[in-house]
Amino acid sequence: MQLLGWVTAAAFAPPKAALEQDLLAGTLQAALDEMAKTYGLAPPKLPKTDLRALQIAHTSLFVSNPAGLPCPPYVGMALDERLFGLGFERLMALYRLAGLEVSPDWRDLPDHLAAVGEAIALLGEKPELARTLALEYLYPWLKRYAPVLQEADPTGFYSSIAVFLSKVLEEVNGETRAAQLP
Amino acid sequence: MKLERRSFLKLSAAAVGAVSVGGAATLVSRAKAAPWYTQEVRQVFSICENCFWRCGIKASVVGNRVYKVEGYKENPKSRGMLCPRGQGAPAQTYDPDRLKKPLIRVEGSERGAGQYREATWEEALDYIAKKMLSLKEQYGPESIAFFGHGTGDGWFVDFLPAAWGSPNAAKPSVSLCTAPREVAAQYTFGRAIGGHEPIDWPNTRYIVLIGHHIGEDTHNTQLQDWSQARKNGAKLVVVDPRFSTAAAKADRWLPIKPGTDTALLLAWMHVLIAENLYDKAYVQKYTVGFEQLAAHVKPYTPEWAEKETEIPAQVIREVAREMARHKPKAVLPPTRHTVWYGNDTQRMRALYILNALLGNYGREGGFYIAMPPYLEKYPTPPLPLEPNAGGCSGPAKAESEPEGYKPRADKGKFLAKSTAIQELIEPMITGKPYPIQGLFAYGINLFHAIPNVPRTKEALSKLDLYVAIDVLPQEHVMWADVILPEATYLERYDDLVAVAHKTPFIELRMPAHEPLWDTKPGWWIAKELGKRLGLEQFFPWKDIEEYLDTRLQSVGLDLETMKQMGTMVQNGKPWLTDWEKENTLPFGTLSGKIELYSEALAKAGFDPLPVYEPPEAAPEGFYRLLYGRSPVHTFARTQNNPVLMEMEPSNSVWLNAEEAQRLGFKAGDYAYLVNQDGVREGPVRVKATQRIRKDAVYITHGFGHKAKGMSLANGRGASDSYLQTRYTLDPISGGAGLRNNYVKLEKAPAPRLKSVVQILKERRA
Amino acid sequence: MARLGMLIDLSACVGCAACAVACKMENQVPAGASRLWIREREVGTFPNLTVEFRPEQCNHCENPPCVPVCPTGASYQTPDGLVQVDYNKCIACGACVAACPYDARYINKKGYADKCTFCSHRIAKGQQPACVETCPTYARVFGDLDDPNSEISKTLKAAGRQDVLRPEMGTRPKVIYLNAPSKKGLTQEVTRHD
Repeated sequence: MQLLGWVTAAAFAPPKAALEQDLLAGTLQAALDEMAKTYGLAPPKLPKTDLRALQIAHTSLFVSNPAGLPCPPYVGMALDERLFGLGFERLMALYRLAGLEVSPDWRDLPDHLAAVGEAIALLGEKPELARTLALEYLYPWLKRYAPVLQEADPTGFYSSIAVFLSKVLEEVNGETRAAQLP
Repeated sequence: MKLERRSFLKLSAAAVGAVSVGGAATLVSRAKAAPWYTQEVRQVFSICENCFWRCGIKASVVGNRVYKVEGYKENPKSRGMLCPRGQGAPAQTYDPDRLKKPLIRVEGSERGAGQYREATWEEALDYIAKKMLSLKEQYGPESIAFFGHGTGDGWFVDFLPAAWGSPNAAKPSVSLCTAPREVAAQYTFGRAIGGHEPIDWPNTRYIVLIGHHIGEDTHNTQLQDWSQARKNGAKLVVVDPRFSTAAAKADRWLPIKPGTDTALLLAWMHVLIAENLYDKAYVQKYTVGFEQLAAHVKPYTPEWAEKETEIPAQVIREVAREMARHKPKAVLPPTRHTVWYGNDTQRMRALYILNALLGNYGREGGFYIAMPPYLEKYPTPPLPLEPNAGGCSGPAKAESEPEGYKPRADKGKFLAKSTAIQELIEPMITGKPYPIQGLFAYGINLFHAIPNVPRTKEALSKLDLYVAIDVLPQEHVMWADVILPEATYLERYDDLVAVAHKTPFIELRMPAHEPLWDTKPGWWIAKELGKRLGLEQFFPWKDIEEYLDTRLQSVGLDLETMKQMGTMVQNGKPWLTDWEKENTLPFGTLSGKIELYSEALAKAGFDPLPVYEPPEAAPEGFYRLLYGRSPVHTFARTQNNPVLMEMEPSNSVWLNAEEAQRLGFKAGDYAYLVNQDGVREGPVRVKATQRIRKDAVYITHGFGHKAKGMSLANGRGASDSYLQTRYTLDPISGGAGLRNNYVKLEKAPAPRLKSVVQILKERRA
Repeated sequence: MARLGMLIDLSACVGCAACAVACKMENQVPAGASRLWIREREVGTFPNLTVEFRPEQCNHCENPPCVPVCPTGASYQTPDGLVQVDYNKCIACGACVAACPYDARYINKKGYADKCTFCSHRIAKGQQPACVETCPTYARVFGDLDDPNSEISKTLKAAGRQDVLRPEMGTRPKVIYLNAPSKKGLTQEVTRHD
């Protein structure tokens, strides 16, 4: 779960030098491979792409796009029909409960995919809370928007990660439900 | 193999190790049951931004969210009430379509193709400044134009261009709206009418509205006062080709032939003078030029006017006599949007002269004299140019430009000193009289305000630098080289708003919460840009708080006190008697009186008395395109607001019911509107109605967005602006008369559009 | 005990929907639902016309059909004469939605029937309902119909024409319309989704 969190945070944050390093060093690919092994899935192969291309794609998919923003990167959007809805408020309650605060340098909303990913990672020592975040907050977004990314992502980077994370969470969800059966 | 740790969140010291997920469930269900008003609500004073009326509001804030705004009693504009747009305005701040980060157009991509990358503010501002300085070097400072609209436009249309040295600064609210009425008022009363039409509604007994859409343009205070006047028993006459909301409340509706208003006004003057019904004492004491006026209007009998206006002569006579019976408490209020047919300054002059004959200017039940509040500027070194009526010229009131600065690019095209925004488009294309190579667009919607959109697009494609500062990804914004996302009205301070009023007042906007996303307030953007342009001497304030505090000290206040008050009211001098007590009069004309006959206009080669010009006829098979306002929308800026769009998701085209039948349109049918130049808009629903004449159709302004990035606004209804490919220049005011455009209706399929509610719901998983 | 009601003066109302938007914001009414809505009708032929702008909402009937049909007692009348819903008791069965002749109720996806409460949370703080407070045409008066000195009683006493919606239903609405613009009274009613 912790790895899933870091991958989400790394992949969906605005692409900067840190991501470029992850890509050059192959750490993101390695993380995906390890997750694939854990859940018995085929690992996605990240496309070769440069930072500038990722920045343009990230902007057009998640920030501003004159042709219509395909994937607002906020988990609340998939839970509610808008920003700052009930799902968002529940997430904030969970953050508070977990002792998580949004850093003042984070110039985006606290329910941004990257922030939720980081929260999942930070809560590695509270696996139940991390699992709740992943299944009840991250997963609905991936279900709603991974197919959109497959259509709209010019790089294949975001879509392959989103599709893969969906599959991972499908597995996690299956496990969780099995565990709940009497 | 380790991913680098990100740090958007942090574990606080108070991390509760012991809490289980079970605890989370309890907390979460409690959150569900608690409405916002049961939580800890902060109240913050601010100013509404959903139209230019600028009502004082109180925002109810919980955390980083404003749930509700209300007016407050101490504010002379809202007085505790708000219109629908004001009530719904907060929804914009939380719109997922908002501009969120500075964007730079991808190097090598075409303008208008919409390819962008995120940038830091540093990078974006450096980029702009570098380009501006190189344009200045090559062409001079005047080669950059500044267009803007909204409360923050002072930074970008008044202050920054004046400091930078470009006279080409303009607001659409001048030559695309109020210019004729303001210029006519200067040449008649020697005073401005000003933002908030100074009518003494509560005391008036007889109101004549000409093309004035009170109730559809929900200017809050005006709507309140007009309602109060009617409750008090004032009689109401509405002159309009359309049975407007105001007409629905009227004692008489005069369905005038479009474009003939001046004929009606001249006939009314004729009756007042011919039947000796005007206010003789007032005219004698306060006006000049009565003899010339009397001779001028002699031929304009009601019978003559009937042929022009299609209003029966008898009705014209009766209304004139009724007005006279109620004088001076009878009033013909000026509209705000006065750029109709091109001869608009003369029409507005006729309206003011008629009011003067009723003796109502500066008297109860007529016009009060609005005075601005006393408030000092923040001291700076003198700016090279002076802001002037939505543009720069200068120094103030001078006829010529200071050494080293060029005159405005529209100079000489018309008489008035205000800037005609539409006249600055051609220089961007032709380079004449000199090149305009750069443009700032702050808050203005270029394609829904300036006529002839194809020409505007051509101009944009030729620029070397185009910067847009906005809140939403409007169509024109997504053409810019650099897009700067502004914090919304709920997230920022602005300059103090000083309102000329019966009781002049100053009001404060302060942020209700931190800006969401990476957005910044206009004052900050202007100051940071100024710094990079070598203009830091003109931005000496540390920050906005210090700026506001310094200005407030000039009226014996400070920012902390103002934050608790919201509004500071001063005393005015609304009546002529107030001025006479000080042995003075308010008229700033050459004669010092109300000029029925204008010597100044005569000298400039214009008619010194209002002359009627019959309107241009519509081409065969076309209807005159009239337009107006919806009570829940403002311009083209509210059509992505989910709350307001749910109330009114589209406009419809009003077509006389008999015409609709003749053309075969049934209830629920859609049409394309095709104008005289072949521009097509729609599909738009046809409203077959008794409420309009047969020679005109009507749509509300602001719909027909073509910005796909605005998910609710895009593709709904028809845009009047896109259909206004022509305008008739008013040679006195520079106003662009927009009502000489014509459309025919073609049958159209119903648009395949998801409903607003459907779009909202589909955002969910 | 008070008898709380509301007057809406149709000669003042311009149908601007300030009330409807204020209600939506104050009560965070979800997309696609409304507690308060506006109807607009034109009557007559050119040029002899009139237009009726008519806001509608829960009438807080004295004889409310929605209350007896409620199987759980969630819908009830307060001693002040308000018709209210206890969200905790409500099972969202929809019986009240069907029973209301004014189409004033909807099912909130949070799991209960919802409608205008006359902003009881505001009344409790001594404020006016959000729709009344914001109305820029002074069309609305709210208060105690049983108190002869209240503004609502005085306005009602001085008023000309008075109407309620669907009087034949015997519901005895406490939202009373003054000065209907048509000589025939309120225009014909149909459901709000017309």
